[in-house]
Amino acid sequence: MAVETRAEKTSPLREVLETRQYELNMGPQHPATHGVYRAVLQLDGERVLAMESVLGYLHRGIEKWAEYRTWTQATPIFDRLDYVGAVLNGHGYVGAVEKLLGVEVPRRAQYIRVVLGELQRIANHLLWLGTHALDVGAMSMLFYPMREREVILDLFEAMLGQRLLPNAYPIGGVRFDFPKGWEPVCRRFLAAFPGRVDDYEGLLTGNRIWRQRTIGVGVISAKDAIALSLSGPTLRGSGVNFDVRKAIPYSSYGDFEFEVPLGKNGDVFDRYLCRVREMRQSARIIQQALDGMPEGELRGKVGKIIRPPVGEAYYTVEAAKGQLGYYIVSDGGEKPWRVHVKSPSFVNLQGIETMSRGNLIADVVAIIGSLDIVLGEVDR
Amino acid sequence: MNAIGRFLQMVTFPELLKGMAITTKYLAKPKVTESYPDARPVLPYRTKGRLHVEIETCISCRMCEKACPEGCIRVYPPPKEVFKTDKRPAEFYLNQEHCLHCGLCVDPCPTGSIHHSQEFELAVVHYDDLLFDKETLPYDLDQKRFRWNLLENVPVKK
Amino acid sequence: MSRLARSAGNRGSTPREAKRAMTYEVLLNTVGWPLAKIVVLLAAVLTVVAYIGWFERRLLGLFQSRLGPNRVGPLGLLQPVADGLKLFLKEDIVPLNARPFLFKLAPVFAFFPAFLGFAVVSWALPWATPSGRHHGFVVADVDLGILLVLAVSSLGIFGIILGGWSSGSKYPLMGSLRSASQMLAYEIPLTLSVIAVILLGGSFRLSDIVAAQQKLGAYFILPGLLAFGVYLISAVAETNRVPFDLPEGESEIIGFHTEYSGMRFGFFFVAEYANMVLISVIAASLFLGGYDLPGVDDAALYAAHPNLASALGVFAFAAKSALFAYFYVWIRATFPRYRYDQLLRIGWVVLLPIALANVALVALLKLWLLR
Repeated sequence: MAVETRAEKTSPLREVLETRQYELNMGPQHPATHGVYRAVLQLDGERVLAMESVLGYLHRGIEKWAEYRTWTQATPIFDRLDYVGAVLNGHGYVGAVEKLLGVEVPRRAQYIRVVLGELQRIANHLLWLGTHALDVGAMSMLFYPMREREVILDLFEAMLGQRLLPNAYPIGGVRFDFPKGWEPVCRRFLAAFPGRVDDYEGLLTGNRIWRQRTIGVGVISAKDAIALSLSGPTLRGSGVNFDVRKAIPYSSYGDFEFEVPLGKNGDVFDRYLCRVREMRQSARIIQQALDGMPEGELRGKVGKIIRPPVGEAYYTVEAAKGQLGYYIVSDGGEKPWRVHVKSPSFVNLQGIETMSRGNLIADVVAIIGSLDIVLGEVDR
Repeated sequence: MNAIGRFLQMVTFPELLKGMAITTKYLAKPKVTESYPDARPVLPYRTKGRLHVEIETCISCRMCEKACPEGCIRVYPPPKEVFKTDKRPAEFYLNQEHCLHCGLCVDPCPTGSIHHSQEFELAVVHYDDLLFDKETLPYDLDQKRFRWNLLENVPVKK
Repeated sequence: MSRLARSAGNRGSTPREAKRAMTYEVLLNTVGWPLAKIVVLLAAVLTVVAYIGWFERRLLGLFQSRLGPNRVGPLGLLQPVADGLKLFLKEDIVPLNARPFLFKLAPVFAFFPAFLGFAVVSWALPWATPSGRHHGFVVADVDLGILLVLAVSSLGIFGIILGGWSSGSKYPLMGSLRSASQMLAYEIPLTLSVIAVILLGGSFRLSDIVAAQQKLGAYFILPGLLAFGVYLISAVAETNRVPFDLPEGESEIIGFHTEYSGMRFGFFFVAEYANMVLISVIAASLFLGGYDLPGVDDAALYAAHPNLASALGVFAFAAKSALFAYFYVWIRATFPRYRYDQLLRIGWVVLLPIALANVALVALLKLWLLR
């Protein structure tokens, strides 16, 4: 309902100046919806009274697609869920199959996965930071993070062969070791990175325009966030301490020392701060993993043809956007019987209606940006 | 005191000036733009570009065909009598249009005949230009001198 | 009676010929010279407007660790030509829901007021011809010059409102509504800050204001520092630029020109940049002494070499205006965008009282100190 003040209700002009609510389609072709997401807004002027999400414009049937491929063949397609955090997606699927097979992944492979995964998390957060800041109007902030992301993508290309959708891991370990000269480049990046993050924060965190635009906007309480099953920085922005890396340590995450940044109010600004601090923590984890890199095998004992035993497995990783879970069912054959993905973007997107009610259109844009959704993962 | 400090901060906007100083800092720094068509990028060896196949060393085992998730490779072995002496495929079709550049076909190849190259400019005028057969399959003659080390994914001199 | 007419009379021609010569003289002074000046000025302004776009994109690129347009011509200098050609060749689409007549009229409404203001800008000291005549570097040095600029620049909003409304689409309508309220909120502080300068200068004529600054020996940015700040902020809002670019706000509502394409969009685009140039030029002459050469005794130089002084004056003016253009790009490279309600609050609650207080302050200053 329209928020009316008492003066407005008793105004004699009320009869004359009759206003009307109207409906606005935001998307699917809107520059700020980060893809083909459509929001139907009920507006009173520029104030959002109600909002409805319409999904499915990027549905590719990835889960069904996987059922028609062998276990190995299905690995590259899961990169295409969240195409800016592909390495972490691959990790989730491969981990699920390894769990079902009962394969022990060698420690060196686990450490390499941590290094690549955290690099991917930084790359994802950099892209998010750039686009989110651009949505709020800070144009240079699109380019500065992109510049650092470029270094990470170059590292991926040298290590995995591709920049965006590298099909990073085979089932049972990692494909290759680090190439020569990779580690020094990575360390140089890590050394320069905190200074760059300081620059981003200098441009945004203290800036009064940024603060006015983000503080108190798109608030979601911890209770609501848990009830809506949000995860990742979107949940932690509301002050709920849940990180899969800490709660259910996988891939040797227990070996590393890092903090889980938490917000307080659950607004756009807190989610922003969470992600920025998370980038610093990720850099810390990579540093530790590179320092403590164990020697050994790269791949566990996996046959050429993979036939997991009859059964089911659920494996979850902390992807860049939140908790990414894979539920797989095997009938003992060469192909998966069912692969179900619990994708964080899809779940987090549920929070948007709670967050944007009563805010302005400009806030909706900021909120969509702060959720860090990728439509490839929402629609699958 | 705190209120005065806040007021001073509001009036003198140090944080806005700090942001402007940061942008000025980058104004003076060297740029990262690569003038692409003029300056060619040096790609790392593991880059998964266009698939290259060496028909001469192929033994028609069809491992790549089975591995490909998109089914863009078709290998037709030669007739049995010929196969005993010459294992090269009778026909080899490669549909680059559907290729995911995932590298799954490279892993199982026993002879290292199929591998990704550093060729990355894959835009063509017509779809047909992405369909290759035995005669038109690309193979980089320079790379022929190398054998593929699968584990390291680095070339080894023959 | 000018020299030409007199010389005609001296030659001993018939009165009819003398009358014809006088008519010629009058026509030349009322139509000929102004027309020539208008053509030259328009050509110059259009070139500057085209290249201010190049300047902005290039400078933004440098701020953002990239190069900006650098492909068309040396240093990308032909980029405006390429852009213009592209806009001319694009299809001109009129949406089904639009009201075609108003839809087509709106860009024109936005385009022309943006250029009218340049008429009263005094670009330099008058140019002396060998025959002893003086041609002012100004199309019309009217005595209400600055008021004309304010009045005319407010007209541009009609183009935006019309364009948004006649598009028959919700996003452009919202853009034009935002634009209208923004215009109302910021036109008043802008005018009040200009009034402070008028108080200091004692005239509405731009050349008089510059002359007053020369006489004072200090630019009005010093006594009118507060007015300068208010002007700077309001000017950014007036020209719809970051951080007040809400009517366009390409990531929220795509802008009042969402439905426009081709050269009709180009008109809005050019108008926006023309406004930016105009507001920079006005700022330079109000607060930075216009064509006054810093550190040089202009009157002495003008007495010795009038044409040199004029030519240098134009360059000084251009450099001062470029400072403002640089500042606007710098701002754009650094800041996020304000929200609609915050923007209006700044306009009405912050800038308006400051501007009002400043007018009183400057009046007192004028009364006691600068008499």
